[in-house]
Amino acid sequence: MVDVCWGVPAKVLSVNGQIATVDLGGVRREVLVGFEGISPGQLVMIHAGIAIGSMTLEDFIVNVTIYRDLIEEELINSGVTETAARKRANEEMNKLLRSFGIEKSIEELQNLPGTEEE
Amino acid sequence: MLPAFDQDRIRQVFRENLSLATRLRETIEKCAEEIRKRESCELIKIMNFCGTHEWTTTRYGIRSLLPHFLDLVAGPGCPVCVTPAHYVEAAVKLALEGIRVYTYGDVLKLRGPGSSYPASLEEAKACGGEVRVVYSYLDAIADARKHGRESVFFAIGFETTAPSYALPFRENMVPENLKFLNAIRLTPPAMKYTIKLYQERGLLPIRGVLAPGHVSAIIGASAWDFLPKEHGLPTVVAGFEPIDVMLAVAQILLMIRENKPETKIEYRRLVRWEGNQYAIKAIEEVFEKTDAVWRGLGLMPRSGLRLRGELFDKFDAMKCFGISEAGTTGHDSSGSEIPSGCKCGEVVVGISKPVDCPMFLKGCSPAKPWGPCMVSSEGTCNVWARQGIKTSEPFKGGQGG
Repeated sequence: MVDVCWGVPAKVLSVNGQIATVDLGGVRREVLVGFEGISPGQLVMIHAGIAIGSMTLEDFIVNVTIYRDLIEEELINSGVTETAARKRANEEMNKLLRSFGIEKSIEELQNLPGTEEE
Repeated sequence: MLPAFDQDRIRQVFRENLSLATRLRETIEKCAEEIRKRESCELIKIMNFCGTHEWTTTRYGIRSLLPHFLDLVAGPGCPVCVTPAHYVEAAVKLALEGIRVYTYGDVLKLRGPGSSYPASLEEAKACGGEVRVVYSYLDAIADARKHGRESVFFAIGFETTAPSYALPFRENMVPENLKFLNAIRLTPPAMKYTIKLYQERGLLPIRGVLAPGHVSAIIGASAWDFLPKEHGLPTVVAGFEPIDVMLAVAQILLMIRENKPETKIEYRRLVRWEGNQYAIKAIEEVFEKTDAVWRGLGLMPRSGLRLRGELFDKFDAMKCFGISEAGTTGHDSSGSEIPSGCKCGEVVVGISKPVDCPMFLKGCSPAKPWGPCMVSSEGTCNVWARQGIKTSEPFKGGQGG
């Protein structure tokens, strides 16, 4: 993603001074450390190349739909067809979920048993 | 009982939050109706400040779930939209002179003043200009170190992005060949300006504010306390899921109904009252507040950041390349900051809707943006153009005010 505005989640792999290496769904990136107490394994919010804060796994799952949709939007904007964008966005989100140790896929998370009947 | 259409939409959008969304919709409708009856008003206007909130609102059709007399309008929360045209013109000129210009992807199509060619960095690149799209300031630093030639980073953004600039300066990571074209803007002064503008124009006032989530992760929710305390406006710092927006709207309406304006944090997943003190300290060490021009809005006091003197002068692109500061333009869409025929000056503060602009999806589209609000994926016109418009009633236009 190269737009300035979107915030995206990532997992911290390592920290070296002001720089952290993070996993953005299978893509490794170096980002700036923008808060105190960052550590490997943490889930963080990345905004224009800086980690601005940490999140719990539960926080991340609450946001999972919008992240998928943001990726899809980016792909469509870059010329990918809607169907292909949806497929790729789901794939990227599933990689991200797996990197966080979540075995469920985005499709499963969005159709949790029982929710349709509520 | 909600109509079948709404049930379907709620089911599509809210999935696992279906029952909560349904309850929120009922609360919103009930509260809004009570307020309307009590105050005999035709319209209740709430502002979402942030471009990502507008994206969520439009993408998920939130407006179609709200009563038709509840107007959720977009505010000036898109940093690309408010970057002065003058800076774009300067960046284009530098790129054509062979100076490598780094910027974010959503700045590429932003146009400078007038209709000359090339007017944007994208066009400058097509003309052989040195333009590089980067993911972050850090990437520009790495590339500038590698090639060692004169280069400039076109630094746009709000408080969320500011620490990504401040930290490399503070840690001496920035090479001297990488200059800094600074267009950082601060959000609370813009919200203050917008409220004042509505008052001065005698427009129907904004009754509540959805404050930006990620900006508030840096500056803290207490930075918005002036809204309830000085202006009596209920304010909710909200996240970006559709359920976050619904929850924030409901909270605002409850506060209006009870006449108890406060600041509330809905986005507890990331936002604290005191903000991110580490980032705030870095920003204060490197930058100081300054009066700054916002495209289409004009000069706002203490609404920008500039590099603190001496220590950082050698990085200041304005000084190094002799670029003059952007002049002031009043809130006048005929001013040179906003292209002729474009209503971005009004769209950016929620006075006009994109569909009120005669150029919307005619001479101005996401593929070929004319006005600044059509450029970025967070610009209101861009969002409306890409996502379509779903309102609870056929849109009549001209409801600004």
